[in-house]
Formats: sequence, structure tokens, C-alpha cells
Amino acid sequence: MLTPLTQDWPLWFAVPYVMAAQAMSGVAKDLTKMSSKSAIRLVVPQEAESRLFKWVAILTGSKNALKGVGFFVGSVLLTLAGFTASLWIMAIALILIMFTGFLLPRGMGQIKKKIKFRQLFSKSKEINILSAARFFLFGARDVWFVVGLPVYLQSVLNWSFYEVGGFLALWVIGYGGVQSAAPVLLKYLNRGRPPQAATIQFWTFTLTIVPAVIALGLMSDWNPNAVIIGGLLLFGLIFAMNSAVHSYLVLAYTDDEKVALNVGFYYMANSGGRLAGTVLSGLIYQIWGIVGCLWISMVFVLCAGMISLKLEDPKRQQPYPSLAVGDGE
Amino acid sequence: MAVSTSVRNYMIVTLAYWGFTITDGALRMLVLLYFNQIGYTPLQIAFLFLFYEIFGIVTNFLGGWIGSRLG
Repeated sequence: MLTPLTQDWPLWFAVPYVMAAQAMSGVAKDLTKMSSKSAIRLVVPQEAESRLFKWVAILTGSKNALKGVGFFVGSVLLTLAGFTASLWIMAIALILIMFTGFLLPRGMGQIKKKIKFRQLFSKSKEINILSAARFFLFGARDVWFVVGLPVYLQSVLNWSFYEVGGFLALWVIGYGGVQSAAPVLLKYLNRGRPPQAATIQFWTFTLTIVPAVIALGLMSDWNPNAVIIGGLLLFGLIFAMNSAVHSYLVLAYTDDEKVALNVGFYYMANSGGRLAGTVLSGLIYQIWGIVGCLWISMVFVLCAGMISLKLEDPKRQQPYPSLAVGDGE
Repeated sequence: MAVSTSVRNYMIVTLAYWGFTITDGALRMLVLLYFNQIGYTPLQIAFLFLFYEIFGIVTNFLGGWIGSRLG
């Protein structure tokens, strides 16, 4: 869909065009993700909570790895084939994927109870608080990650296409790995108790420090490559723990019949954070550079932390749960 | 029997999702690196992603609704 695009196109036309093409791709991805998240809940017997979490963990972990692969593939394609040819290759791949949809039976995973439209906004106080916290959490990541960081790597540190793509790919894959390992890690750190409100508060406030440290590092005369790489590793590690605890809590706060609804509402908040983060990422980077993005990121994490102070411990608890992970992109 | 069928369906959905995820990641990188290279400002690039994010919100909103009605 993007293939007719050339450099000669005027800005007013090129920008909406790319936006629409990306949106189509996003819709397809999100719908598939929703069905996948809901489908697993019905596949695994309701009682086997730990098994559910294991499946979701595998799904999400592999998702991050695949997204990382996508980053790398994108940057390599751009290096080797150029923009237009790359888009053709991807369009063909997408059409092939569409065909897999015909293999599915109709009415898969039907949920018995009908839900009215006004119930779309979650009635649960906990879900709403968690969603608000998640808004800021993901905003905090995206405010420097979406535009600021890659542009900084490419334009200021002069990394090549595949260096940027490859590094971000490795980061995302590593991040997925930490998410998969998060259940074990958290279980160990919590001495076997399931995550509580205090767990998310601890991890969110810990994360606050990281963007501030990276910003200070870049403002000093240290090697910016080292600061960025080290900082990103630390940020990814702690961010993944946050995300994993969030994903556990949203399920712990959710009624079974409403799983698609609550997860949907919650990921919507998540997308809202990304929306704000994305626009701010471009805007702040253009005005104050990468350091500005990092300070805003810190403020966002701080907001997420303050909001999470309002959370109560979930009532539904399993004695020794593995954790759900998911980062809701 | 029920288990194997649902696992099969789950696998199909998941594989399709993976395919979308790879192309989605690739597209993101393509757009970002290419438009930065040809001189778009960071804010202009951010707007390239804007529609994408808005649709993310809309599909999640509707997806939750459709999901709870149709599965």
C-alpha cells in the first residue's frame, strides 16, 4: 500500500498516506492479538491458572522476539532493497497471512453472556487505576523510545540502518526474555507470594530513577554510546518487570466472563499512553533532544507510580501463581 | 478432541499474529529510518505513527466489545 510513495510527493500528501497505511497494518495486528489473548483463556481449563500464565508468557515472549526480528528485517530490507521494494515484499507476506484466517471455524471462542455497550468502560475501580498507571508507564517508554532514540542513534551517533535496527531488535528480544523470566524472578523476590499492590509500586518507583540517570549520563561528558546502551539495558530490565506485574494484576482483578472486555479496556489505556508518548517523542526531541525526552519519561513514570499508590491488593489470589506477562503493544 | 481442535485454532491465530508482528515491526523500522534519512523532522515522523496509534485505541475499544459479543 505504501509502495507508490516516492520522495517527490509533497508532505501534505505523503504524511496522511503513510499514516493510513500503517493504521491498516495496526488494525490487523491488534485484532489478531485480541483474539489470541482471548482464545488462550478458553483453551486452557479455567482452574489451571498457572498453565494459563505459562501459555500467555510463551505467546508474549515469542511476540517480542518476533517483533525484534521484524525490526531487524525492516532495517536490513531498507539497506539491501530500498524503501519501495521492501514495501512490496511485505505486502506479499501480509496477503499470505490473511489466508490463514480462512482456516478458522466460525464463532470460535464464543462467550455466552452478551455485554452492553455502556459496559465498555470498566466498572472495576482497580482496572481503571491500573489502566491509568499503564497509560503513563507506556507513555514513559515511548516518549523517548519511538522517535527520539532511533533518530538520535541514526543522526547524532551516526549508526547505520542495520545497526539501529539490529540494536533495537536485540533490545526488544532481550526485553521479551526478561518478561518470560519475570514470573520466576518475582516469585523468588517475593518469596513465593503472588504480586500485590506494593509489588507494582516498588517496581514503578524503581524505574523512575533510570531515565534520570541516562539523562544525567548524556549531559555529562561520558561516552554517549556506552550511556545509551547501558541505560537501555537497565531500563528494559526494570520496565519488563513492571509490565509483567501489570499483566498479572489485570487478570487477577478481572471476572472470567469479561476477560476480553477488561483486557481490551486495559490495552486501550495502553495504546493511549503510546499515542501521547509517540507525539511527545517527536515534539520533545525536536525541541530539547534526547535528554528532554528522558526527563519527560521520568515524569511519566513518576505519575504511574503515584497512581499505583491507589491500588488495593487483588482479592482473587492463587497460592503460587506463575505470572502472566504481556506488554500490550 | 475438543482440546486438540482448540489448540489448533489457537496455533493458527497465534501464527497469523506472529506474521503480522514481524511485518509490523519491519514497517515501523522502514518508515522511521527512511523518513529520517530523507529529512523529515522528528515531529513529522511522530505524526506518521499517530494514526497508527489512534487506530490501536479504536481497535482495542471495539475489539473488547466485539470480542465479548462474538468471541
